Amino acid sequence: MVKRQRNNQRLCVQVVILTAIGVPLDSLAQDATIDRLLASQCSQCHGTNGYAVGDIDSLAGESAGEIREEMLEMQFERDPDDMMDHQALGYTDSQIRRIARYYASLPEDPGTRAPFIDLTAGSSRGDRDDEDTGDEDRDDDHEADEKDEDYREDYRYDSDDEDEQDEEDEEDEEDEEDEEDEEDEED
Amino acid sequence: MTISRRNLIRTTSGVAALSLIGKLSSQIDDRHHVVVVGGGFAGSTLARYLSLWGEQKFRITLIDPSSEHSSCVMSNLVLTNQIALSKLTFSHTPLADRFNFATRVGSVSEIKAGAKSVLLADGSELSYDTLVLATGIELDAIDGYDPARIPHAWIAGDSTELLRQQLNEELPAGGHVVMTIPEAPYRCPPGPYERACLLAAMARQITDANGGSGVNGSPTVTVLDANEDIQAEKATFTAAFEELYGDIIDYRRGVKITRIDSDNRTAYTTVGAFSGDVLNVIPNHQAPAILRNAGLVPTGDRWAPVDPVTYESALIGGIYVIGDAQATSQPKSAHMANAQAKVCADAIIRKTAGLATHASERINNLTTNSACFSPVNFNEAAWLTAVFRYNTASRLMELAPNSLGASEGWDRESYDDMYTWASNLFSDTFV
Repeated sequence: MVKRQRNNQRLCVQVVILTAIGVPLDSLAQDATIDRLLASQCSQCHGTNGYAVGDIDSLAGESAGEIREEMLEMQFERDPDDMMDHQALGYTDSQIRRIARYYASLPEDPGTRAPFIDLTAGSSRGDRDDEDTGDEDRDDDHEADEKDEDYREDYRYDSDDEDEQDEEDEEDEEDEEDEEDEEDEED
Repeated sequence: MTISRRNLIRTTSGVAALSLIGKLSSQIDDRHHVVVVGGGFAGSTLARYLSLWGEQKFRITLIDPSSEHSSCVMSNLVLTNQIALSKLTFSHTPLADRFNFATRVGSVSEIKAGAKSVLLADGSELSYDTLVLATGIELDAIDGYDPARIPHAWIAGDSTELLRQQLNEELPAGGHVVMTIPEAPYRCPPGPYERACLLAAMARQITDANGGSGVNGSPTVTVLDANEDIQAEKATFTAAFEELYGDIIDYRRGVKITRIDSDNRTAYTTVGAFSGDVLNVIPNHQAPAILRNAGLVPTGDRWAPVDPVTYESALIGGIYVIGDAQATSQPKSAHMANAQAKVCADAIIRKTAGLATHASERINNLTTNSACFSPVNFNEAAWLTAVFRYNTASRLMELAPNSLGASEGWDRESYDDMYTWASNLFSDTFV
């Protein structure tokens, strides 16, 4: 209870400070399920909760600052020639922050995870020039047939960690502000 | 009479007690019952995410006429013998076991919206609190068209295998393939043009392997498009038709099918008759009869209108329609069906918890996206992508500015990326 009061006070102070320096209140929005829904739209390609299969970036456990920085880089690509250059343009900065916050809240190592489908392993794929596809490594890493009842725990967005997350967010906000300052200086 | 579980165990013998508890548990499972009709990309994702996010507050039953689903995604590569159909076929059982939901093999014959129940073809009735229809499409009947002999290969499964067999076993050197493209909107906008490219690649390969064009001349693929122009990736497919298959593909616009002679593999059209060694007819589509009969599709329309904030039917409350059967202007594709299912699952969770589905914070952050790859030959692919955002003024999902993008041509890297994309999409849906 004491801790919650302290958090509330801290939040009020944050709101005042951030409003004063022009950070939109939206970035402090607390409905984590909206972060989750936004982020889930990445998982068709980047895997459920950002645990990807094959040669594509996993997003889980990346720092929020890093995800946002990459998305902003893609948004400002002068000659967008990658699928993600276009995808990045579909999101506002506030939405990117929320997506980044969600993935940053998940552990990088998923622990025991769901089985998955790796179509890249053992399929006949036209005339391959490069034999080294890394398929064998993938098989070893993920043990496709493994089944574990508890793995859903790893997928669950744990709202009990909010206190911890607040602190992380605070750090991220600071990081991002620093980055913005740096960008401004470069400009 | 009240029976506590502890007393039951004390007073009955082991096996009998366990079986009784099992029965009691199912009887007293009064959680909100969500019935999902259809176990394709939309339905499987919905059940999966409702379980993942629903904190065990839902009892979920997935009904499908089959115990497994064959993916249309990548199924053109079954035709070219590059992927076995079995690799694209996913049983519902492991998914249901992992995500703690029930499955039922059966066909829904009637939706009783007033009574909140569905009737199955075997005569049984299943009641629901929330109904999600993820049925996919129904293909129109065409005079003389027998899908058992003339494959569409547009709902993956036996028809895909039939077209593969006909191509491999009945197409001679210098053979002639005829294919038809349905009127938009149809499932997978780039799909028919990808299909045309791969049919041409197969026809050339078969000709080269059987004495070359000197035997019967060059092979041909006649593409009869019901639309006035290429419907997706126009620059890519125009270039592919000309540069890769200029000697093979004969692309014709605005051709409507009037009748099919299934014995002689002939399509009768508004511009004459076309016969092929292989005939691939993809009829026009609409939302299946089960939706139309339930009053979910306005008279004269072909698709079920929904509120894209929830995917709840615009016509009957408590019934949700996701995937290809719904009427929003988002492309009809597996990737989009998965995207919509997540929005719908989140909406059902909110609604059941008494939370607003149309809260400004939610509708201002409502997005879906599309990404897809199209092989144009045996080892190169093109891609297409877009993000859709909810517009609070029009109340529609609209293309986010500048997010629509397509590859410049095709390459090997995209072909390899296609396998990674499909693996992740399948994993996020079926396992």
